[in-house]
Amino acid sequence: MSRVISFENVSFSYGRNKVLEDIDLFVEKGDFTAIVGPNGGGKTTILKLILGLLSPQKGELKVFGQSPCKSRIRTGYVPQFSVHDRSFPIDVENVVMQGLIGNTSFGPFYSKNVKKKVADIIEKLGLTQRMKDRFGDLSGGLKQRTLIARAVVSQPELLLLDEPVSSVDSSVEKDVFEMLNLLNKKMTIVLVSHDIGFVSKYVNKIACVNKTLVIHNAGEITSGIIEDAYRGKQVAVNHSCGI
Amino acid sequence: MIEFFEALFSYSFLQNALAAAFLASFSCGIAGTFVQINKITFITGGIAHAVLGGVGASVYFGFSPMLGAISVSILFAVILGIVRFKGGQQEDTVIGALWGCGMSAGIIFIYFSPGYSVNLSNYLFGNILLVSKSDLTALVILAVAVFAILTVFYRQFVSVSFDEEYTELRGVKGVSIYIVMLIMIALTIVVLMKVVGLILVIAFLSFPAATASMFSSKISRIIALSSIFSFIFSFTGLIFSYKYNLPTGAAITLVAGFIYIFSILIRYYYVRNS
Ligand SMILES: Nc1ncnc2c1ncn2[C@@H]1O[C@H](COP(=O)(O)OP(=O)(O)OP(=O)(O)O)[C@@H](O)[C@H]1O
Ligand SMILES: [Mg+2]
Repeated sequence: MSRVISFENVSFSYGRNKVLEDIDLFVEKGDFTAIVGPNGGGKTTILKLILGLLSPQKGELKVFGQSPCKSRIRTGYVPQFSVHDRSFPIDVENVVMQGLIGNTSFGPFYSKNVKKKVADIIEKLGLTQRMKDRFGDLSGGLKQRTLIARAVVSQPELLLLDEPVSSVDSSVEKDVFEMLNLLNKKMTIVLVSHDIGFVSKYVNKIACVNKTLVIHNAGEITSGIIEDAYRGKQVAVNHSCGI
Repeated sequence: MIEFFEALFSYSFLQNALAAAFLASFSCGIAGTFVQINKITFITGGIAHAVLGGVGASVYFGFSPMLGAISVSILFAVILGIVRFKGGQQEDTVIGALWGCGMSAGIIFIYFSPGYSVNLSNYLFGNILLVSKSDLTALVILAVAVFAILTVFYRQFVSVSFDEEYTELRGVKGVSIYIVMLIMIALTIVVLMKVVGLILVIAFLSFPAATASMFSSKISRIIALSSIFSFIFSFTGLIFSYKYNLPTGAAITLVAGFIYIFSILIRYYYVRNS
């Protein structure tokens, strides 16, 4: 198996605020890894490091054996929050097309091939009827689905999702996970989630992050451990996931 | 109205004015749309006012003011693009500083050039009735450049405007695209300098796009509509200023403002009754 992500002794701080301390994290090709932990634990920060949006002050971080900035084109990303201007004149189809902006060339028109890829993925996510609607007018859940479509349309080798189902309804949540499960055959997935109980059915590794990081294989997760992980601040401070 | 058209056939300065209005409207529809969706009126204002520095310097040293305006507008587009990305919290302050310094330098240069007073007001407030044949040639070249930039980079511009971070993540150099977009806007500012003057550029860039985005939420359509609105505004303004002998830039901008406010009212009425 080849290694997709490797963090060795990585530390990161925002100014004086140390967010991650000496973390080691290895993700192999084909893994489906969940990152869990309390609010402010550093989950989003880890994804941003993998994308090269932030760089660590200490330690070595490689993605596909390269520096994160070089490998980002092989990566898809669903951000935690949609920060877009509600009144921006762009429809769902064009938001999804943005996922292919690095692979397409110049000029005002997209090729038939690109349009087809986009239509397919939009259908998979059940957005076909909303395809021509303005992105800003969608509900939070539909926005998230659109952003998932944007991330997977380029068929990345590595897919990073930051709480992608926090505002979709539970039936869609299940659909999304079924889809991720299918995608996992073709790509490595790292997903930030709050719901360990639910994700543990799908993932093969769980990384608990609260400033430090501990990796568990999915088999080790029991419901007792999960409760511990989220129960009190006490546990959270020592090592959040106490798992 | 009829007398205006009669005059149009007999006077070449009116024909030039009309051609300039057409070229300006075309560029204005393109650049104004991107100013609007990026909400970068302040940056645009910064470039517009700083351009006076270039004009002043060329008047003083005896170059072509158009050339001075073009080079300074491009220079400031590049600087402000970089400031936008690297300036962090300081962005607004830096833009404000460049805005003020550029303009002041221009005023001082022009003050020391002979016959300054006539020149200064033409650049600040524009005079479409004074557009010469050689100005027109320059305007054609600028408008074609604006259109060419748009055609090549349309997708990238839309992508950067919507979500800069994601564009970078897809391996597209966001900063460079952003700077190219500002250059396109800068060239449009130079075109508009001839028509409405540097001070009114922001208003003239905003009204058509703002009016157009009430009628469509598709960027390509907003561009087309703003160009059309922009031409209607400048044509109507031109007629008024010819007939009542008003300053052209101000007349055109006022017409634009009135139509904009009128459309807000119509839209409000329409939304309430539907
Ligand atoms: N841009 C920033 N500047 C300064 N500090 C930041 C910034 N972003 C995050 N932080 C700090 O870094 C820490 C980790 O943040 P991060 O967003 O990685 O947490 P998280 O695990 O994703 O939390 P959540 O579950 O709320 O999404 C927090 O203490 C936060 O205050
Ligand atoms: Mg987060």
